[in-house]
Amino acid sequence: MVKKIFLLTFLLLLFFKGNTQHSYRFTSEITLKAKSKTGEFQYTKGVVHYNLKNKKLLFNITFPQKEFYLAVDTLIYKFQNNKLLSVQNNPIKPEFSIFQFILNNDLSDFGLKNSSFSISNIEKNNGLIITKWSPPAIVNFPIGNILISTKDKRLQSVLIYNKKGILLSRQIYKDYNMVNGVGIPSEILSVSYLGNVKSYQVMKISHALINEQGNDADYDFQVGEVKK
Amino acid sequence: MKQFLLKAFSVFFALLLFGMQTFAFSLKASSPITENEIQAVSAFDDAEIYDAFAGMADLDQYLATNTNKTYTDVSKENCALLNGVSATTSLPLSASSDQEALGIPSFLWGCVFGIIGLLVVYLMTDNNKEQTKKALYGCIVGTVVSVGLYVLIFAAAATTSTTNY
Repeated sequence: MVKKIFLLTFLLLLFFKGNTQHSYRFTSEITLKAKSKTGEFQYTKGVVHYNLKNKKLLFNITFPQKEFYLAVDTLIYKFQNNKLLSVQNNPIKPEFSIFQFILNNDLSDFGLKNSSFSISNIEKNNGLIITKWSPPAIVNFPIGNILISTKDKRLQSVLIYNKKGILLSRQIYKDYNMVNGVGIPSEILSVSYLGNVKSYQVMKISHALINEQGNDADYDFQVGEVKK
Repeated sequence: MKQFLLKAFSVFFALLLFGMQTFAFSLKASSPITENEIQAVSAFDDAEIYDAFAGMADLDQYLATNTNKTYTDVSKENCALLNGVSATTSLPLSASSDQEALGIPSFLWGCVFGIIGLLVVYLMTDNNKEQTKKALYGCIVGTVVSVGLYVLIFAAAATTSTTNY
């Protein structure tokens, strides 16, 4: 009898695991508007492709100029006019990007769960769950507390403070869309407060697709190829 | 069967004990969320951000219908739309607004990697100072952390190599 129960449980587990749809590809149109402290505007528009399996991140930029960037491991390749223009060291791997968090459903804690920050308090206020993350006890660690608010398990805002408790940056995640069961914010607003001067960014994510079929070359772009 | 259940319960309670100890440690290190912090999180008027980009509405609309136009195209067709808009993808870090940070546009750093990249590099490299400096630089370009870190920025810039083709 016990053996039969174990066998049944095992088979059920196999069944559910087999039916789990893993998210491994992300693509969307992206528009970034930025206003610097000097008042100058930047406008960047393009399409992003991210493949969770090979950790390749491809940006196909159409504005201000046609160019694309491929981030692989610790390198970023820049292509322009169908030519490899430069190779740049990138200390941050693509797997630490927002797209990885989206595919892994880790966006709700801003990825802090897997960092050295630890939760020092949680409060509920007006339907928001506010979580305070404190930095690791490392001498001269540059960042102070980080406050995160979520609603219905979706990230709403991130506030980053310095060690003196002065607000350095605020990000707001808005208008989530459900795509293949994955919550994707359609807008990320960001304000930074360096030297008491505000600078702004708005990133729009539109036409997002999860596990897109086709366009395989964009999800596994080979550096030796020429992008057309 | 009895032996199996006993073992299962033992493992369960051992894990529970471990979890409670971790939780107790967290409580010990707790710090209250102040009224100001709650206010900062919950009461923020995002109209301020939208207003900052009100002057780009026409360009936004134009590019929505003319998806493949570049900066050069727009400047020939309707240069008024580009009033105050930079021709590059990077955010100004220093006096030179056309200078890309380490050759990488700011949107890659600020909106895509952000602070998490910094934290992960900090952890992954076992506090390797050079790596952390580079990560800090990356973090600052987009989210701009603090004035004092500019020292680290220049240190990072000096140690980063670029290959041009």
